[in-house]
Amino acid sequence: MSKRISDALEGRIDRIDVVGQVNSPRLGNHWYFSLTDGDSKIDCVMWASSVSAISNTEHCDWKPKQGDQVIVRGTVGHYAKFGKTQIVVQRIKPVGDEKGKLQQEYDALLKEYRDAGWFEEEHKKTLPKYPRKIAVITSATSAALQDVIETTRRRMPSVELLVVNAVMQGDASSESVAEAIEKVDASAEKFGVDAIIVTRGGGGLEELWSFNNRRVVEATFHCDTPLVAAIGHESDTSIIELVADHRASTPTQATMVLVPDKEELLQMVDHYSSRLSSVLTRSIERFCASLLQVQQSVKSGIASYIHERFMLIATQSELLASKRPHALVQARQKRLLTLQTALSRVTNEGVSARLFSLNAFRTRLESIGPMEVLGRGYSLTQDASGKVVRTSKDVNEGEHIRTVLADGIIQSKVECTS
Amino acid sequence: MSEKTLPNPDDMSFEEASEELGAIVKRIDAGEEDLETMMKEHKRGQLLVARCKLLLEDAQQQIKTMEARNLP
Repeated sequence: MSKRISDALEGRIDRIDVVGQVNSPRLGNHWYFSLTDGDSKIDCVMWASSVSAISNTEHCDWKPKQGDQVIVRGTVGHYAKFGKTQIVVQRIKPVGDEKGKLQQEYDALLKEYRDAGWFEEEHKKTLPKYPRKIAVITSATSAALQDVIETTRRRMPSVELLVVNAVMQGDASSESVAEAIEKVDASAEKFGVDAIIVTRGGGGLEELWSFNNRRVVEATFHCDTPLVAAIGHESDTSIIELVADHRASTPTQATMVLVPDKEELLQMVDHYSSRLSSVLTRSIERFCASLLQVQQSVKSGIASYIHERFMLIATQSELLASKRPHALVQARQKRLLTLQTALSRVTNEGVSARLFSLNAFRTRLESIGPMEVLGRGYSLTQDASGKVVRTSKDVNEGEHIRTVLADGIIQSKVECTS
Repeated sequence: MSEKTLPNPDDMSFEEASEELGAIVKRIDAGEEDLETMMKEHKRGQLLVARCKLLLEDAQQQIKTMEARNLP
């Protein structure tokens, strides 16, 4: 039975890293201790060959003490003799110092990039709504990749994935990830890549450290292709996630953000299709109704048009028959009356003018005639035959003469002449 | 004024007759004609007045006839 447990464990669990608190250390040639996290406990053994290897590291003088927080790397084995499961430790180092140092560095980097404005919304590119191809930068053997593939297959199998294998942990990781981002971005157009996912599963600050690395952060910031980062668990925040165009909590989430759901799209299409039909139906109904209305309006419009025309003709006819001819005749009558009056007037005036001239002539004539002279005291003498007596020799004594005065005649007899 | 060129008032329209009448009034009013001419013009004017009156009376009669025909 123990053998079967041992085979099962060793076949399933590969090399692991475990963080815990050292408990009951017995440090001889071989080191025996257990690790606890407060809730659980696991025994550890570190064979002398691995213990001696510590002397080649920076922790050569260090030995685990009761209560130390450590990180161990090793394999899980089942010790059949005592029926216990234990970790066969290959490497051990204190966590506290390392973690504190990294945390300080992380805080400093975070402040620097925040101050530079690299996390600002204005730098975020819009993610494509319907990407055709997505580049996935991750470890080719990782569970994260499996999650991305599975989610894509489930949501929209037509979306192509371009898997870019990169080292996602350890010293070579930063350069590998940064290079992958730069290369994919440079060839995005050529390969038809619409978006990039950079993802890996959970881990401690140390394991995820490369995603705070300047090289990676800067490659991400300068990447022109929309990039989604999902590094570690939701509680871990790597700087790459803050600089990326979108941060997702898990590889699955990152995929869901980019890959539209086929079912949702189909539902949406169905929804729009039914909406379109109902809109079309309503439009047709409205159109028919308005057509009917127009038809009725045209009908009643024509009737009222004809009626109006009748009325107009009647009015005009009335106007023509009554007012206008009357007015015309009246105007002519008025004109005729004016002319007739003028004719009488001007003719009378012409006659009067001539009469006036005639009178004037007569007055003038009279003023220069003999009667006028007589009026001034002169007189005219005529002999018996009526001849005008001009000299005393024209008459004889005893002859009768007539003296004409202005107001009458005097008959007299000549007594003598001289 | 030449009598030969003058049309017979009976053949004249209202407008023609009234136009000539106006011209006669204008000429008499100018006072440049001799008395005989003036009196001849006056006589012609009277004829034209009579023509115009006749035409107007005729028109009025026609209107009355039309109105009577249009009565409902």
